[in-house]
Amino acid sequence: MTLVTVIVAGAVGSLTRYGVIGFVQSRARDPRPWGTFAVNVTGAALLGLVAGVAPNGWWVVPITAGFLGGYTTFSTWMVETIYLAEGRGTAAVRSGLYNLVGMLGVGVMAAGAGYLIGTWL
Amino acid sequence: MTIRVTWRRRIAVLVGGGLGSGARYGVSLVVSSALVGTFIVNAVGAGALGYALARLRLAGRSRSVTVPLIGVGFLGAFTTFSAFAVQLIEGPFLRSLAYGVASLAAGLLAGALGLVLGRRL
Repeated sequence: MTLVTVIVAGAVGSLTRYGVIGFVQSRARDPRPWGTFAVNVTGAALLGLVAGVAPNGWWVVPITAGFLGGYTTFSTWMVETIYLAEGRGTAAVRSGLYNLVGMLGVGVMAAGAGYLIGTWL
Repeated sequence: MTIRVTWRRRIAVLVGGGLGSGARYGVSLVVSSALVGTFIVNAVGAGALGYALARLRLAGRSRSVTVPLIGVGFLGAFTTFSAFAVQLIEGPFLRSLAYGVASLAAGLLAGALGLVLGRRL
């Protein structure tokens, strides 16, 4: 039964990711993957918040493993980083490195901030 | 990447994302360590996404529904950034450092390998 709720919530989370990435990317006027950055940072903050609150209930796994797992993506981050770094010259390698380190740093900070807020709630 | 969003593509992301989230949850049930489970789905998902995108691009399928279904949907949802980020802030420093470096190295290596294989085959 939990598996079914994870599938449904993961489907909704994935569609939300698709919508947010499309929205952010169309507004960014920049080929760099700001859409993936937006979903991963907000998703990490939200999961940190849930971890900080540490709630109980049947809906926790569908929200965390389902919705937020489907909403955020590691694979896209990796492949987009490689695409960026594949361009010509050291500027390309640098932009790939920024994408890698930037997402990691901001994502971890967002998760930490969400966690702290969650423990205060 | 300006790909027109259609209802067929939204449904493809919904279906693929649900199945990818379910598969990730399935791995988490089988693998006893949450860290190892996330590491496995993220590395495997990054490699598979690199391979799938390279293949689909070569096959001229980039404009069809297969990228939203397999790439954005299934493999996007199969991997997770939110769990990765929260696991990094929850653990002791050295364990998080090792886990983070190993995840990024494996993800980049798998993604690059997938892209190379997909372009060659």
